[in-house]
Amino acid sequence: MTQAAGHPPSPQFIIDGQAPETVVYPASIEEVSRLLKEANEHGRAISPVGHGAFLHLGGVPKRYEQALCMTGLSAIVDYQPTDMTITVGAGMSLAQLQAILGENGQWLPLDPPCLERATVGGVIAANLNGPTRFSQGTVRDFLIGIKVVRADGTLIKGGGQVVKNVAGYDLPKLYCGSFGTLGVIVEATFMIRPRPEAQTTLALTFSSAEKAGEAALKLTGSDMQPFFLELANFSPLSSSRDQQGDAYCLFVGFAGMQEEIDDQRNHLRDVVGDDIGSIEELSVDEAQTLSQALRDFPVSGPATLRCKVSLQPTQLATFCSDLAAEARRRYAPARLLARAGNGILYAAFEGDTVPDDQILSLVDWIRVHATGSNGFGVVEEISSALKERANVWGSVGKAFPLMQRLKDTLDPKGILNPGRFVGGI
Amino acid sequence: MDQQVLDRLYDIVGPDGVVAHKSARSVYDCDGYTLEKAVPEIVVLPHSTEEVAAVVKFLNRERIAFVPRGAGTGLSGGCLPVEAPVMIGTSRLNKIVHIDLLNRYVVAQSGVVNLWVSNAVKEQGLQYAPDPSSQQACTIGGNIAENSGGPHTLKYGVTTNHVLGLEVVLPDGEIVTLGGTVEDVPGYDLRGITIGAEGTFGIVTQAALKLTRQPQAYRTFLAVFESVHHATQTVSGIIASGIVPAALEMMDTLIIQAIEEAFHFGFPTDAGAVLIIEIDGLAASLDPQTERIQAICKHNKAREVRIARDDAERMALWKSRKRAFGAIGRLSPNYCTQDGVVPRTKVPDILQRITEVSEKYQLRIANVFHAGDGNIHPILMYDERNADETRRVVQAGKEILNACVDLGGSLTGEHGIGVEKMGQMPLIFSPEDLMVMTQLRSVFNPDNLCNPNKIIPTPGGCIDVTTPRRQVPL
Ligand SMILES: Cc1cc2nc3c(=O)[nH]c(=O)nc-3n(C[C@H](O)[C@H](O)[C@H](O)COP(=O)(O)OP(=O)(O)OC[C@H]3O[C@@H](n4cnc5c(N)ncnc54)[C@H](O)[C@@H]3O)c2cc1C
Ligand SMILES: Cc1cc2nc3c(=O)[nH]c(=O)nc-3n(C[C@H](O)[C@H](O)[C@H](O)COP(=O)(O)OP(=O)(O)OC[C@H]3O[C@@H](n4cnc5c(N)ncnc54)[C@H](O)[C@@H]3O)c2cc1C
Repeated sequence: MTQAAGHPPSPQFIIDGQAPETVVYPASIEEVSRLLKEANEHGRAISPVGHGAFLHLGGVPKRYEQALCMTGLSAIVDYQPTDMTITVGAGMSLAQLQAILGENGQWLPLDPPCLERATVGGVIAANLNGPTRFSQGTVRDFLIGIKVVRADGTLIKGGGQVVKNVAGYDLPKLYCGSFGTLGVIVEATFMIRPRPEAQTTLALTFSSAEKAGEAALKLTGSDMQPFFLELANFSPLSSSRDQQGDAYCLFVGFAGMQEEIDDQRNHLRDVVGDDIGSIEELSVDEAQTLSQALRDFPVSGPATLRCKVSLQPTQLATFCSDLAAEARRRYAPARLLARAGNGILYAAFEGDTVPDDQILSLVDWIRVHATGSNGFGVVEEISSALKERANVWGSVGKAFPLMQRLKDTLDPKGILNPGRFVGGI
Repeated sequence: MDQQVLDRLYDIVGPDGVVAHKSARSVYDCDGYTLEKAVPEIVVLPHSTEEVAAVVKFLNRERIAFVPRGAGTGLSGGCLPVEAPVMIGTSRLNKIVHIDLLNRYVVAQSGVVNLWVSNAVKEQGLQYAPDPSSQQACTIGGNIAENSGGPHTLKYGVTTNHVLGLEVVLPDGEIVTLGGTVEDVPGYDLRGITIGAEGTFGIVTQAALKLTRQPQAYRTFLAVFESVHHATQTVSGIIASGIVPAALEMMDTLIIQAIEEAFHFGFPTDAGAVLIIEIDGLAASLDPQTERIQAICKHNKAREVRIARDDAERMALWKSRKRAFGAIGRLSPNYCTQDGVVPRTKVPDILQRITEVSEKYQLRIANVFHAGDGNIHPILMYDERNADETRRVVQAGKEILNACVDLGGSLTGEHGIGVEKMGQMPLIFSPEDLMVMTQLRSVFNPDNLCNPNKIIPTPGGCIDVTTPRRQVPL
């Protein structure tokens, strides 16, 4: 299960240019336990890796000696379609999980980037999600039970197999977005949902971010129940629909029973008003292409800088137009995509000749403008050399001492992904 | 209590913020779990976050343990003072601080009553989705501590799914914000682990709560069955059909009779079981779902399926359901509500076991519960003047919970562990699991001054509910 000595590890395990000395492939919970116990005794730094192609997220590792590849733990432990719960190994890919659930017309309502590759453990640890978070929620809303191996090799569990449960502290929540720094997730139980019977997508165009933002707010303030609601300063669809100048698109998905989809489609124009460029229902193929592009946007295409910004939904539009202008001034054209109902903005900046200080000043601009209104800005991709100066996670304020204590409690020797999380945790 | 301590507390919160007189304090001797009682030595009612922080800082310095209390509607003894002389009540933290309609959230102090939040935004077509049956009384702080649910959580989720951020006074008196008013706040989800911590991580003083749009339309059904079996088959059938109802509640004969006697809604008192089924959402989606639900009910031999004619009838139906516990008062001087969970498909099995327990211990047990998520609430009736019957109630309750665990379920779906179920935690958690919980508590509450002797049994297992540490008034 350990990769033969002497072989360079495959690129998938390289984090910020650092390669681990060994890659191990545990095939059972017991093996994960034994490996961690050993690593902990020797103070060996470990990174749990799912399919591993996306390990850029987070700070530069302080140390990185062993990659723990989790894809061997990919069994269905228990699936009760009528109870709408499923328990699987953390190394199962999300695509496989969705395929299993799909056989019964069910799904785990998450549509993160790289659906095909992301593992269940990676989805939990990196809190991955996609456009449908607007109507469905994020992984913390579905994770009802978890098994984790602690840094010292002890197996612990939280939650259970039932959809409603408040016995003991809510451990599953703690591991959502913990980036592998609090333990290795080995098993997860989710509550699942029936797959929508039908779906459709409409593309709306507007002459400015403000108009698009206004329409989005009208939608969230109405009786409509969009499946997703995405605001972008570009269109991922064919070039004929490419956006000019300051134009913005709003992509609105509806899902459920045909009757409710028809009803909403027919009333959409009444709700958003007349201040609109075009409105068009996409074909099945176009909708497919679009939803994949929206999903994968946070990781696709070239970018010198990628940021994720948390804002109030009402602030999105102005933030987008101001940010686009700032980016243009620095010759780093910005592609912006926002989960309009959630206030989450993904910004990707192109321009590979932009000087470092301009990139960093863009990060500053984002942080200053986001935190001014209680928001946050996280750098998701930047050259490794700039990570420290960019302080990728930003500041987490007065809660940080608690986070540090938590980390010290669960991983006292700091062997799990050291240096990769907030405040250098 | 030491006069100097009293004086200092008076200094911080003022005379109207202290309840010192014995008779006034005695109303704080228990919550809705009345099998154990203890009067706090003093109750303080701070008027602001700063006052809470000052009180806690002082108590921390003096090494005096304290217990937070909201409205005291808890059902597991969460705010019972056990070796904690000071009770900190949130009844003066009762303001809604900020309402943001466009971004759909509310910032409310922790003593705000659950229903006030929905009432404050009702006119604008919004609501705060978690709706515990106690919502006219229970507080946001208590809801957060217990991660409370309610009839409509089947579709909308429980408290944790609707809380964006918390302001918490940590047990050392520090004020921190966990989460925020936006989504995806970087760092560990400390908000997530604090929700459901039953007040052992600090005192929540304020919370940012997500608002949800009121559904465009509702349809509420009352389906009448000859037997519990047919009702549970219907529940499974509806779930399997791909419908996610807003609520799926079941009531058995005993509770139907009690409710009918109390509220005269028109429930059939000879039915074996009734289901309250509610669907909501876009009006256009309700007709096709109605047809499906009626077909499923009919297939499972429903005697009758009534649809609430208008909003008034719907409200009357829900009012009866939400006051079901109160109605039991007519049948029995005392009752103990249990809270257990089984996988939804095991509801018939657990009801069978409850019937057996009822016969074995010669107790009347009524069932009214959240069938859609397998969350049972057997109500065990007794007379606390009868010591033997009281003992049998404790024993029967335990046996029902053991059965839930045997069926793959859990000890509590929404009422919490409190003092009541500490002794049974080892049934579902290993020593390692309990150790990590103890360590997590220490991260927030290192000296265990905040709500001690709750949730996690002390090693050695000396805690046993059959012999309450606090005397049950018999
Ligand atoms: C710059 C960038 C930005 C991104 N932004 C987003 C975004 O905002 N939203 C989004 O949805 N996706 C985002 N992604 C995609 C996301 O990172 C990958 O889709 C995901 O990591 C793939 O899952 P994986 O299983 O391969 O996990 P990996 O990439 O292998 O691991 C991801 C993280 O989870 C940890 N981890 C993995 N498995 C376990 C386990 N079993 N136990 C404990 N920890 C574990 C790893 O140590 C690592 O910290 C981003 C990717 C990149 C490169
Ligand atoms: C008739 C009836 C029906 C009920 N129906 C439901 C139901 O449908 N669903 C449901 O989930 N529950 C239900 N309950 C249980 C109860 O109402 C909930 O647990 C409720 O959330 C408790 O709120 P409270 O304000 O009364 O809290 P309390 O009982 O005062 O306290 C409960 C716990 O919270 C802690 N606490 C209180 N305030 C704070 C704070 N500000 N910071 C930190 N900790 C705090 C206390 O220390 C204690 O541990 C019902 C109870 C009754 C009596």
